[in-house]
Amino acid sequence: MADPVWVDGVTPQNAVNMNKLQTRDEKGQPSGYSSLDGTGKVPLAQLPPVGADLVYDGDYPATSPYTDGDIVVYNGIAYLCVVPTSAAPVPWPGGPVPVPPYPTPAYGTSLPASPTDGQQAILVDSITAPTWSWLFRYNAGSTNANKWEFLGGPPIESGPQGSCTCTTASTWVDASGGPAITVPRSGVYKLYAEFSASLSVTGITDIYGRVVFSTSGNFQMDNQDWSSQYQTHHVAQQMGQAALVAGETSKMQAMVGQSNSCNFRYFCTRIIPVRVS
Amino acid sequence: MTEIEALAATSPDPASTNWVPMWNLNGGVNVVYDGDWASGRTYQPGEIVVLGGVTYMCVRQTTNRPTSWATAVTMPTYGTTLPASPVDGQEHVLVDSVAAPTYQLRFRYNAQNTGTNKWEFIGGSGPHIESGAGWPMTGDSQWHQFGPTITVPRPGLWRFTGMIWGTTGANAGNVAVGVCVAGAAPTFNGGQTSVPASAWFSLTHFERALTLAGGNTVAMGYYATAAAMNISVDSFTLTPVAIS
Repeated sequence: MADPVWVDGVTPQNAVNMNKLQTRDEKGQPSGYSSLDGTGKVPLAQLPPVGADLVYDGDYPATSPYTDGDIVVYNGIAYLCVVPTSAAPVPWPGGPVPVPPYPTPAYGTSLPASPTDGQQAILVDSITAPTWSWLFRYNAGSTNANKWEFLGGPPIESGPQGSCTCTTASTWVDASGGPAITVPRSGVYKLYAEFSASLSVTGITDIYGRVVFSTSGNFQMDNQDWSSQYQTHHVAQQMGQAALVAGETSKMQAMVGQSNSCNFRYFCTRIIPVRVS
Repeated sequence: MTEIEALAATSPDPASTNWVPMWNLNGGVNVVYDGDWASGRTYQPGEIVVLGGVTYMCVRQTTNRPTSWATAVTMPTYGTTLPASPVDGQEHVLVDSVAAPTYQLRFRYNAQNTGTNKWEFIGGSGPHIESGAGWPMTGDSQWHQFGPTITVPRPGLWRFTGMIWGTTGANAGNVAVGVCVAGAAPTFNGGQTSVPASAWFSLTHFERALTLAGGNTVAMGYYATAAAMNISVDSFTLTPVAIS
């Protein structure tokens, strides 16, 4: 029904007409009407949230096109849209220089499958409980097949552990319970080895130790000549570089040059990469 | 709320400008600077507050406290302490001195590491000691600490690599070396050798992994069975595996 036009003495004062009027009690109340302040303006408290229609949209281009009040982050800077647009924000002169994102090295139990020149990656044996972490840089210009060049990290170590007794000349004996390393990637490694040995008899005896890899073969330590009974010696050597194959495993062996009994123990093997594929 | 950078800038032509950097919001929108964020207050879009040294702009009516955004991984930081609130993948180069460092150790923070040592070593050269002062050994078949010490910069798993070189006198004997942590006798024999009288000897490249507390002193210890034996040169290095 259309609002009545009040005519004195004619328009009836009934519910149909009177219920269309709002009472003063409804001023400033829910579903009522707003009041005016002393300056004839609506008080802020009776307005819905005011201010800019600011909407944070996250990284550009999360939504497009943008309207006034849209806020996006682009190259590390937050921008506010003031004109509807689909264009990307452009840094202002004198503003902050966007910091290029740091090329965080990849991190995982394998190296990137399609690396780019200069890319860095960290290889670990476990993400949740790594025992070693190796930082590599991929050198696409290297003529070497092993283009991931080692930049730093601790070695893989196994031992000191294991023992054996050698009694027969020129016969290699496995270190029982000795160190074992599984090579994580094919490549070139620095190889270290240690053991302790005690002669059980008096007599000049040549003492030998070596690391044996299941695919790449034997890497022998420098031999020693000892002569006195019950003398104990500790031998620790960096054995140069070794080309090793992914997945192969190592063990250590000992040998005497003469048939004099010698007890070996505290075997230890370490590898640290030079470059890998 | 969104984090705002407050920066000075010149003003491009508005007629051809679609985007206004957030550090220059004068006019056009009802932006109000409210100072420090206050609990219990209802904030409207456009209001700016400061909390924890960070400026925030409200983009939605709220009474909630602003929370900082996850920090992006930036270039590796460099300093004598590790970052207090690292994020996954963050890198830091730890040194003993910015002006004259004697070691540089690069770490990566692995938030997924379930252990306490989440800063994983990925390169560098660790604290090193080398001295030729010479130490006469007491031939009492007991462990004795000798030589200079290194103070462990941070707790964690470290690798000790050391060597000694020495001489015997009129008596043959056995010599063993180990690592003394916080003045205690070595818990392992790093290497042992039997030496004849009047001879040179060396124990080279003995290396072990050690769990060390921050501030621990680390030194070498010897065990000698004969009198008149001497250590001439002592050298060792600490290299981290992972620290906290």
